[in-house]
Amino acid sequence: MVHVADEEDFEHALKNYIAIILGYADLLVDDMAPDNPRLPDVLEIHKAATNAVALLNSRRSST
Amino acid sequence: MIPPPPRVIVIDDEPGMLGLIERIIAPIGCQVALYTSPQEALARLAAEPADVAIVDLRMPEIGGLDVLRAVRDAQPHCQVILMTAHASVDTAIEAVKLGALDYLSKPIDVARLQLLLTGVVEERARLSAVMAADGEAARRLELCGMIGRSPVMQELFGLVRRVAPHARVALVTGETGSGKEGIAKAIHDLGPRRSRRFLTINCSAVVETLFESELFGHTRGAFTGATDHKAGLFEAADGGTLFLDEVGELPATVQAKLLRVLETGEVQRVGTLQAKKVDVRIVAATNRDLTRESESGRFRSDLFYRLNVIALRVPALRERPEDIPYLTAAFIREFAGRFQKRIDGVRPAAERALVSRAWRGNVRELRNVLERACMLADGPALTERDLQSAIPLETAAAGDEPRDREARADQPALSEDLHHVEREHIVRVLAEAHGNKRAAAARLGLSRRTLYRRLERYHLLDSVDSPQA
Repeated sequence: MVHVADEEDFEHALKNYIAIILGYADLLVDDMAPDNPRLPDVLEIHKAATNAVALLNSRRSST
Repeated sequence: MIPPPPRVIVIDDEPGMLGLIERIIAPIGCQVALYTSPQEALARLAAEPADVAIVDLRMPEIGGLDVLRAVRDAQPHCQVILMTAHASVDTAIEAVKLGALDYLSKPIDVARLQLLLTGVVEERARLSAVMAADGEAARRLELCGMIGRSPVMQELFGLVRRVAPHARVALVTGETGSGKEGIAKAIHDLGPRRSRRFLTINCSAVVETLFESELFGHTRGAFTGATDHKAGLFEAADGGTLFLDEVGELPATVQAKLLRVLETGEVQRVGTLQAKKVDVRIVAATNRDLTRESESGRFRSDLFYRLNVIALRVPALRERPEDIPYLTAAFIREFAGRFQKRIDGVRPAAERALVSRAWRGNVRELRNVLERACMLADGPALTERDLQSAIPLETAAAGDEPRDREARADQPALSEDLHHVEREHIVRVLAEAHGNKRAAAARLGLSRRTLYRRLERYHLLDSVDSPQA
């Protein structure tokens, strides 16, 4: 765990973690055949992570 | 030759991010090293050079921009890719100004990062392929180790191949450093005497009074110091080839005697009237315009016509710039091997600089510059900076004969400057040697005779005490 000193640090760390989730989800999607039964699950992870990043970005631009 | 895989270092304080990036770039075929500490990464950089560094912008120890600066200072060839979770225009501009290859925002765009790395790998492979192909082509078009792909050189090589089996006398002309000796050697090696001797005498390096004895030999007692019989170069080269380099410097008296040998095929040792038949092929070379020299009477015209039976003109390097990439490839291979460095080629800007240079010192100067550049280089491709530091300051006169340099009217300041430095140095060394010229000459690496000549030139002869040894 990284040490978080202020709001900006917190945001930065959180975004980093989400970026890792999203990155691995990307790799999984790339590797999976289109008919892989687990593909929809991975796409859900991917979608949620993408939304999280978007949420963080919107919060940042509104402050 | 397959180049080793590019080395990529990844620096991010978050280990999870390192793992992810390793997974992303692994399929491209890179050798990857991961660091959570930028300090450790920079410390290892010297021992383990990297082709690409992927660096997080925001890290607690050292910021990514500082890492970028440090990497560029330590290894100018290393491409740096920055990544950040907080993309901002300011840092992006700063990063590009500092020479970053790209600036990626997190979450990482997997496809974009893979594309970037693939580009780097392909550039590396392209460089190596060019080097390999250039080397291959050069070997096919070379003559006895000389590289010349240009039409002018191919014409010259063709002429050498045609005359080598027959010519008894040949004159090779060309500027300093253009490769006259190589041509002379090729005439020998491609001719019927290839198994016999090839002897060289540099006519500008022999003291006038010793010329005759050097070329024709002497008998015992022919002159003071002639304690024994001695064969001259003509006798030693009997059956083979004698290469008279800088033949334009031959003193007039010796010119006459050389002419006689060429006409009669006989030599006389100094001190005897007895003539001896010799069978020697003569290849003479000069960087002077002997037509003009003979018109003005500085070179015997009858000797000139004798030598000029077969004339081979070696073009200056600037007349065949298309050969420069091939010569460069060959020299880099040679020096990379000698210095045990991995150098695959030159960067495009450096190649442009090489091809557009005037090269007054010709192939020899190109070779010297590349030797120094390879010695200094710390990346897999020579940069313009490597070349600039390898080109001596006195660029315009580099490689010219000292005589030419002194005669060069557009460079008076430089040669005066050099003379000034030389004079000062001699004065200092003499003072340290307490005026002992033998000791001073030894320390200066000069013969005493040469030192005297310098003292005379700088009007120092009277000003130094001479406690002679």
